Amino acid sequence: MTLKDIQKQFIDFIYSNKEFSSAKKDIISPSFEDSMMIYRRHVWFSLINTLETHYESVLNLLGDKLFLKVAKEYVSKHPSNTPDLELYGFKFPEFLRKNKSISRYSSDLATIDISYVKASIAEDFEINTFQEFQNIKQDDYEKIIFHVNPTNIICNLRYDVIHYFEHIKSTQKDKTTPQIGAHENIIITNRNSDNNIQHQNISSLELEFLNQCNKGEKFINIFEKLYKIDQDINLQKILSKLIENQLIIKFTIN
Amino acid sequence: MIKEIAIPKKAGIGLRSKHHQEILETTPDIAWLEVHTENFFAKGGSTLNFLEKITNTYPISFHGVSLSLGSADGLNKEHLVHLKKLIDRFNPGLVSEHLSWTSYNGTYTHDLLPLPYNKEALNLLSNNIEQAQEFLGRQILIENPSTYLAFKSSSMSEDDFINSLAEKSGCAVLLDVNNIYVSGNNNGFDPLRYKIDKKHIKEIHLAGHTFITTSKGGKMIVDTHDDFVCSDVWKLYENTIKYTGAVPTLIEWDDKLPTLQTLLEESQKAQNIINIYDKQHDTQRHTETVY
Repeated sequence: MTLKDIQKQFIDFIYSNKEFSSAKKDIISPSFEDSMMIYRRHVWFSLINTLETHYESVLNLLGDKLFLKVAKEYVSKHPSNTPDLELYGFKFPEFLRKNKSISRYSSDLATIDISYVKASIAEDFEINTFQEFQNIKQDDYEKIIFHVNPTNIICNLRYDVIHYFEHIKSTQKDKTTPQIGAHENIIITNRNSDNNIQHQNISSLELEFLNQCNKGEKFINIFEKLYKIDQDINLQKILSKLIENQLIIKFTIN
Repeated sequence: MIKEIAIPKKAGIGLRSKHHQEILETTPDIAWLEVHTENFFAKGGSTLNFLEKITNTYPISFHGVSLSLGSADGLNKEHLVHLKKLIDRFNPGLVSEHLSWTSYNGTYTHDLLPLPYNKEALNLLSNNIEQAQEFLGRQILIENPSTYLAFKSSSMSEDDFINSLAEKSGCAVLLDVNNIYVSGNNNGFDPLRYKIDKKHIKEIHLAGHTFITTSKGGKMIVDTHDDFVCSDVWKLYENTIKYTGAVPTLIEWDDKLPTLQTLLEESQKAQNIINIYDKQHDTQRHTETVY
């Protein structure tokens, strides 16, 4: 029996509860089943605990019992493939979306929950302020390239869950739980320069602005593209929002 | 890059998020702190900011749980790169990992799984440790595990295995006294007869554990790290310090965390024992490499 054989059978037992066949003969224990269950419980506990931590508002929506049931199902189908426990469970929103037996809002709530986690661990950045942008000469406008916040996480939601999410996160809870509405919206979550995680609704036009920035398009080209979509576009208003909320963090003049 | 501060031969505590703010605000008198390395693998954000502030105030050691040095399919290069980046940035006084494996074939368990103590495992671990040390540019410490079973294919005792591993790979040893007690109870060996050559021991861990009743009505101990160090483990620790002299000692408490004050009081018990047996009060750099 090689180390590879032992380790493969251990993993199969831990995740799939497969019988510990040939490797069992090599094991000495006063109680084989108890020994193996200690290891199995440690692993499952860590992963379920991580899901509970990452998805606080979903846990609140579903309740402890139902969340545990769903979390166990998730773990059985998604063994961890990362050494960093913080990165476990990022496919949970998608998993919830496919699960017809639970609340249809849970997937959208999970999307917001994990967007906060992703924003909190994303890379650091430096910023330019809106004041600095306003100091740019008009002649240089066509040369500006905007750089988006690397911690921006875009959430396309089917339901308006954000007030429920805020209610769960708030330390001062109102007496009544907010209702969840059924309308599509786009929320963008990011981390600002004070290391606070924040979110805001953005319009499809604002999202398109950010998409064009990501492609490295110059300001003038972005304006032309957006003007074709909406001739009443208020670019000043859009830019002010994107820069002041640090959805755009830097600009360079090329 | 932060300048490396040597870990003093005194008692320290494990740094957990519950106490982060209090430690930053009150800067209590703590000899040194240990962090779980993987908790700081984020690319950016407040956790790294916090670690920067802490390392400017206290000597820090890094204690990893996911490098999986005993993996039969080799080291995870990406994990090593992450670890090196963190070590290069924060320059901890000590870097440690475990005598265990946590992953195989890309599937991770986030637990410290057992190994048989035989030639195959010795060669595998020794190679993996040498590779890791070369890549990281420093010696690492390997911690003895808490185990809930043993292997018939083991050809030597755990302490003999660890001594051989240290000699072969050039690693040092993090001696977890509670783990000796837990493993001894679960696998039927006498903790008092567990002997690691003192020249290898660069750090000691102390922690609490929990007794459970097995399905057959027997008792096992689980290494829960959620309670005070028990009197039997204190006695074992005292024997150890009598043998080694002063060694940096950590109170490791990970779950059902008490107040910071309670942790500090627990570390003071360890410090009292160190003071009795310590012959020297110099801090000694733990930066020896084997190259």
